[in-house]
This record gives sequence, structure tokens and C-alpha cells, in this order.
Amino acid sequence: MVERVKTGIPGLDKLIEGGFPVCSSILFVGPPGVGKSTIAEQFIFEGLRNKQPGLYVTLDSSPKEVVKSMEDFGWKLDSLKSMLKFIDGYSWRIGGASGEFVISNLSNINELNIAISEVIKAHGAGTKRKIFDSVSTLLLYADPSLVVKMIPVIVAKSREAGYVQILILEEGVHDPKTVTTLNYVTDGLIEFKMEEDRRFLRIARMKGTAHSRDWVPFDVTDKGVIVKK
Amino acid sequence: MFQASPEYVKYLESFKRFGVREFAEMPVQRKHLGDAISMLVRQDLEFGILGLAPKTYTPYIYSWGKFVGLQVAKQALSTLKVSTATRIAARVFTMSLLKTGVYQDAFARGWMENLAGIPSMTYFDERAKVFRTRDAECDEASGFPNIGKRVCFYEGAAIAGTTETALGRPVNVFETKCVANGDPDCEFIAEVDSPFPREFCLLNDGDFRKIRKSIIDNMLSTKRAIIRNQLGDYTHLAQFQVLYLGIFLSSPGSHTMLYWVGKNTGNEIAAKVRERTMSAQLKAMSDFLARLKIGVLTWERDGNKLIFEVKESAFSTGAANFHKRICSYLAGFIAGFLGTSWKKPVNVVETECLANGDKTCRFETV
Repeated sequence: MVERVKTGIPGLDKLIEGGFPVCSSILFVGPPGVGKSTIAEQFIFEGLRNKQPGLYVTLDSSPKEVVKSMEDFGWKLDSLKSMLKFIDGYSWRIGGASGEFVISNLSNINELNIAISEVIKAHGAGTKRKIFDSVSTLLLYADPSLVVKMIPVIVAKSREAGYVQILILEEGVHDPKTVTTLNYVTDGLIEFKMEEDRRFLRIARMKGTAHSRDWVPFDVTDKGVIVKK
Repeated sequence: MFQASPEYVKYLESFKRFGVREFAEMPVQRKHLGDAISMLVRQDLEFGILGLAPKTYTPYIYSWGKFVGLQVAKQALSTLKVSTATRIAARVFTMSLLKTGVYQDAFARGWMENLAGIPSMTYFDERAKVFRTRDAECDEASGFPNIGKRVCFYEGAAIAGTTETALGRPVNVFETKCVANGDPDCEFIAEVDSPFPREFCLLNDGDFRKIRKSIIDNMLSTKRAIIRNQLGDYTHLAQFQVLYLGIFLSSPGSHTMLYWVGKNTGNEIAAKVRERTMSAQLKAMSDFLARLKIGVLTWERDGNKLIFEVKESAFSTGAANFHKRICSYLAGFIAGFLGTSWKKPVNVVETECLANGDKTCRFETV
């Protein structure tokens, strides 16, 4: 029986036999604004509530903005913050970055790799959660051929260290070879789409899990994401 | 519907000041370039996004167009003197409301004064709750080659959104004629109480290649004839920003997408410009951005870096202070243009932005 971690979204857990498999890596693909990051934030908060440390690699927002976004949903992070570590790959773009793990230039992918290793060391053993938001932004600033080589290394290293990880990809902003590589190195794929006021997700692939491939509607409410089915 | 960010709501509030009035009477935001931008930039933005993943982004663009139509119509209606009788009529719902001045003002005039197109209702069936609108000189497809497909996803959706606001009932449209289908004008059938379209006419790689080629050729041509005889080939800046800012502010991930679209365009433009010296390349880029009224670009060297200042950026001029640097398309464009010109990867970051409360927009190579 596959051991699983709850996503923090009961409706999503029901679609995948109770949660993501332990040590799995899941790719989220969809357009901006559909709710990928919100689900990722909810997933990491669920881990923190259950004393599972979290690593948030943020390339599109500052750590402060991510925390604010989570707190806006009413998720109280105060006593849990010590378990959540950020790798800030955003602030270099605008100058004035400060924090424990800050990337000085995203085009140097080695720096990111080293920072991830340091957080893994700091987090120690046990089940942990990781968000990579987003791979698309890394592909934008770093040499794509290096990213394609490095991502499998980062995924494997994190899996070995006990992380359940979500990698976020903006749909279309990359060549097919990159998508193939990401598909190959991850254990699951969740696709997202938006139609007027309705948002949908679909479990396209999930290793060791029986699931439907139907599109399922979900809402982003002021308390977080609710999957309707 | 899209969850508008607080920043975007703030922007739409600022849009209110434009109200529905003659284009010439709108407050001027840009002293040198004026408050119009080439419709080719608007086309490039939309079809650049659509080309990334048509299956996902076509309903996305339609949804976005509908959202924008809804919001802008709300703003426009709030600035109009609407009679009490009309307001009551709107509440109890009557199709004939669409024939009143409210609809004409909120939709048709607003459309024309923002230089988006010249709409006219050509068929109206109150009983079947259906009407047909022709949109001449539509800024979404004007100048496109005949690819045998209908491509005005955003414009059609905006008609639906505007009408939905007026009627308080769901409205959706499908396009029946389009310039990109070889028709002289674009035309939409709108149905009240109809569901969100189940299927869209998806464009394939070949379609996008033809459309992109036509946009890029039109962008580069300094001698071509005007595409739109009556409205001219510029669209209003506020209208452009409603589209751009909405997409930008919908998610932090939008930066990546818009940067990518700008980068692709910069690549293609530089590949055709083919200047040999750096100063000629930079001048060509500056001339291009000014001609399309995207911004006034100057540059200086700082060690190994190039620093760019863009005055009157089409993306951020007149925007509220969002505490964000929003000219991602422009940063991507500069990066793409320089990368192709220098034949090596170039990245550009925006370090200052009008929408961040700064006095100007600045970019630097990294």
C-alpha cells in the first residue's frame, strides 16, 4: 500500500486515493491565475500543520508576498514559520533581497542547486514538502539546456531527502523537449484550465494511484481551494 | 469570473475617469507619444499568448474578454445619466434594453472612442433572445491574412460581457464572420441565456505562423497603407492597458508569460532588422518602440551592463502605484532583441517602474 500525504484539499485527496504518494513529485501545468500556486500554498500549510517542514522555492513573488497570500486565506503561520524555509529567487530581479537563502542571479543555476542542498541539510530526516514556483521562470532566466539537466538532479535529490514536491509550470512557455523531460522525471501531472468563472483540474497522471482523467471543477474561496467533486 | 486582484480593481477605478467620452477629450497621459498605441502591439500580445498553448489560452482569452467587457461596461454605465425607467427595465429584464441609448452609449460609443472597432447591430430578435453585431475595423483581426478561421475571441467575449452587464443575464457569442476568414468585417451572434462555449475554433501552428508573420511584417513596414481607413491603426492606451494589466495582475506567473511573449517578438524583429553595430541595433530598437508608441527608449553603459530608460511606457503610464514592476513584455522585448542581435542569451530585468511609484521605467541587462 502506497503511503500518502494529504494535500490539505479534501476534494483533491478523494481523487487520488487520499493524497500524493510520499516522496513523489507532481507537476502542475496551467495558465496564470487559475489557482496553481494557491493549491501549492494550501499543500505546504497542511504539511506545516502536521509538523512536516516545508521548502518554498519562490521565483515569481517575494517570500513576504507568499506569506501574505497564505495569511489572507486565514492560515495562521505564526507558530509554524520556523518550519517553513524559503529560497528567494525573486528579489534579485528588483534589488534589495534579504533572507537566509537568497539567489543573487537566477541565470546561475548552481547557486539554486546549492541553496536547495543547504535547506535539505537544515531540514533533516522525515517527510517534508517542497514547492517550486515556477520552473517556467527558471527557464526564462537560466540556460534552458542547463535547466533540463539540473531539474532531474534537484527532483531526485529532494525525493531522496523525503520531500513530496510540487513543480509549477505556466502552460506553453517552454519547448516540448523540456516538457517531456519534466514529465519523465515527475511521478504525477495535474493539468488546469479556466473557462469563464469556472476553474477545472484534471489528474492526467499519478504513479501508483487509480484515478479518473475527467476534468473536475474547483473554486478558489476566501478559505482556500475547494474541489467540488 | 476572474478574481480581479485589488490592484486591478484600483486600476479599473482609475479607468472610470475616462468614462464614455470623445477620444479627443480624454485626459492625455503621454506628452510625447500621445495616448494611442499601435493595434499591432495589442494583436501581438493576444496572439503571442494564444500561440503558447491554444487549447488552454483560447478559453482563457475569451474569459478575460468577457470579464473586461463586464467591468468596463459597469464603469461606463456608472458614468452615464441613466433614467430610472431604464434602470427598472434592466432589473426586470427586457431585450429591448439593448436598443436603448444605454446600450449604445455603454457599448457602441465606448467601442469606437477607444478605437476598438465600429460595431452595429444588424439583427435583433427579442423573442429568440438573439442579436447579431457587425464589428467593422475590429482591432483584433484587422490586417490579418485569410487563414480560413475566425479569431476574434477577445472582442466577441467583450461584446458578451458588455451585454451581460446591461441585461443582467448570461450572454455568450460565437463569431460568424471574420477578417481572418476572408470576410470584409467581423460579425458575432450573441445569445442571451446561452452557456459558455463548449468548443472554440482553435488555431494551429500554421495559423499562428501566418498571423505572426503578418503582425511582424506590419510592425516593421514604415510605408504600408493604413489598415483601418476610419479608425486608423492605433488603439486607445486605456483600452490596451485594461487587457495588459488585467493579465499581468491576475497572477505572479503572468510576468513569465508576458516576458516570454515580448522576448519572442524582440527576437523576430531583431532577426529582420539585422543591424551590425551595437549603436545601430539600439537605435533601431528605440525607433521601433517609438514608432509603435510603446515608449521612448534611451540607454547608457554601466560597466558590462546596459541600462535602459523607457519614458512614457505604454504598459505603466497612468497606472496606479501597484508597488510592482509591470513592463514585463517590454523587458522581454529588449532581451529578445538584444539576444538575437548579439547572438547570445540576454536577460533583462526591470529595476524601476511607474507602476512601482518610480519616476520612470528602467531596465538593465543581467
